[in-house]
Amino acid sequence: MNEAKDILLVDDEADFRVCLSELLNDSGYSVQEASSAIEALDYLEHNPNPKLILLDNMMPGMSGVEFCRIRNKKESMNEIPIVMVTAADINESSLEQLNIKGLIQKPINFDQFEKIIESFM
Amino acid sequence: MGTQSSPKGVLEPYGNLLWLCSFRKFILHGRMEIMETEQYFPHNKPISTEIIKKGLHLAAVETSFGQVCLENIVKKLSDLFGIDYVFIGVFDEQRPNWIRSLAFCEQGELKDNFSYSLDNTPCSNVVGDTMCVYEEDVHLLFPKDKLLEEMGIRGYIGAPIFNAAAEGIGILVLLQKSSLIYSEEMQSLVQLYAARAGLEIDRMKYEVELNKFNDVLIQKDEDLLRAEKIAKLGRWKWFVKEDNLVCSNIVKDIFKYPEKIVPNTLASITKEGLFTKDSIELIQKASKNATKNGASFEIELEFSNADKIPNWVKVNGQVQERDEKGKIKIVTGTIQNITDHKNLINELNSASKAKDLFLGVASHELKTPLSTMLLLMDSLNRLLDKGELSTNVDKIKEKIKMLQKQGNRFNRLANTLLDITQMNTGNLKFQVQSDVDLSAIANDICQQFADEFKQGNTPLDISIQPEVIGTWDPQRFGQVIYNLMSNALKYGQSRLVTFNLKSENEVVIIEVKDQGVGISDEKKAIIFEKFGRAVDANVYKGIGLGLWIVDEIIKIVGGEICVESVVNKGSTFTAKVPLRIKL
Repeated sequence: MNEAKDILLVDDEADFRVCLSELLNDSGYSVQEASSAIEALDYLEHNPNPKLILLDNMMPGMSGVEFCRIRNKKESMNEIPIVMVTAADINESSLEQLNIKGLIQKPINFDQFEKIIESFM
Repeated sequence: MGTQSSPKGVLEPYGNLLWLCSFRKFILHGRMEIMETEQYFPHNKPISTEIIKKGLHLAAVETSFGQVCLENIVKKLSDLFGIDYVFIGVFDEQRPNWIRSLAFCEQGELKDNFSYSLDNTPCSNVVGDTMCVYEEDVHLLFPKDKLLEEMGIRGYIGAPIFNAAAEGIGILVLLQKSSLIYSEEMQSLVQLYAARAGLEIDRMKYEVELNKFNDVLIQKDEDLLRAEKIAKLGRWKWFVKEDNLVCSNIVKDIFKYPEKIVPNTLASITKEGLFTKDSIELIQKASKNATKNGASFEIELEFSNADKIPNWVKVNGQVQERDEKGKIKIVTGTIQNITDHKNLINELNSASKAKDLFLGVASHELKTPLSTMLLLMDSLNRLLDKGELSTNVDKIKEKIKMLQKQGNRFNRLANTLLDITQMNTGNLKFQVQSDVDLSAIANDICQQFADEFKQGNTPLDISIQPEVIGTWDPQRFGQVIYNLMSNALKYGQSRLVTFNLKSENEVVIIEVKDQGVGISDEKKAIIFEKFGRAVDANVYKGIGLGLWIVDEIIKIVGGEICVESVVNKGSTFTAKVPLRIKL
């Protein structure tokens, strides 16, 4: 098992993920990147301890919503808060059903983003 | 024949006696005096009872109609009384005060009809007025009537012909070259025949008018049927108490009923499985409302016709008749096939939904590079704030490279949106150049993708025939390759993608092969359509227009594209385009 990370960042957009991960690192968070929901689930199977999951929705292979459905059924994962970070239009009522704690619409302003992240840590 | 004396009349030596029993008038030399018929009977030589009986019998059995009837009348009168000339005439509509004969008989033979002016004729006293008889020397009384003179007429009987409204419409005339032997019985018979002729002329007139009305009605009916057919609009009538449903023929066409199963009751319509369950409920509700409350209705119903194809009709109905107690007796209305209209609305709704979906996806696609660009700028700003620009040159260069990449991506999307607008108006712009190195374009694009393939752990095998030089729009050629490669990366599931470009016989062949999700046969039909997707838009990014644009470009240049694919095994897109395009 690897060293525990603060944040699991799941996004298929490599440049966005790399850049956000770097900014979060600079702010003092340890970040684990995953380029797909499948990769994220795989990571969580072995490392079920990040403090927060930042999750994109539209990703090839498995959407963020589908990831949430699977994660909710797994006791080892369903306590980890998820904040969805997406450019897609998400129905807010479905957030609660999916046990998603917050929604941040892309594009993001990192200063504001950082404050929201802090509230979950 | 001697001169008759009259109780009241003053007789000239040659004055023949004239009378009209029915009107109880005498005319003496054109002067009229009221007489009592029973006081006077002018003829002392009554014709035989046998002839009168025969005349009555003939009149009674005259069952012919129209022209034949009129001809029979003149012939019978001629035969019966041995009269030289008999004719039936009516006012000539074209010439005032003229008579036009309808049937003319000369000594038992039918002759051609004729016209004459009433002026100075014995008939002028008769028409619309009284019956006149000149037993002899009528030509002397009407010396200006040349015809009488020429024909050598001596005896004259004229009976007015009236229509059902008691308006004088014509005349029945008997002309004799010799003196007439006249009697009351003969008068009655002539009057009887005149009345019969009047009825027949009246009937003929009404028959003509009726035929005209009939023609108008037939025409209107034909117009209505034509309009019904064009509008696909049928009529129906429901006799509530009897539950009898009567429909016009077009209704059968609308439903494509086989003749034997045309429903003729409301009960059968709601039971026979013709309409959908929802539609049956609508029919029951509307009919109940109409019969209980007299409410009009307009409902849209779905049904499957004989070919099992879903169809739609709009049914309008309203109360037509109530019985003496006020209960609804007849409900009537129209039925119109609105399937085309419904299909159009469905298509519009689908197009509208597709457009909404497209706007959502396009917005997402535009936001994606924009989000990365803004985040990169935040990152650069932080370095600037910390005064770390000079110590992080490599990092900054890397970020600027990323910015350029995302900026290009954004630009491509914006161009795609512009292409869509151009394609929707059939005006996709091309800037064709000669000596375009198509191999180089393909190489550039493959290199652009190299990083993304690497990031996606997707192996890429590139085979490009060098120096394929053609006449093309470089941007459009690049667009074809970019979109095909983009799909291979997106749907390739990180398995090997191969890219091939070669030129054979003035044709450039581009082949992009992946081993990813593949496309079902059903979806193959739609992938080249606008917004056509073989996969869930929530899972796979893109605006769903890539292959549509590729297809449009290839069609415009006169090329072709095909796809071979197996679900979960992968897809191979092969595009064949001219080396030198001519637009």
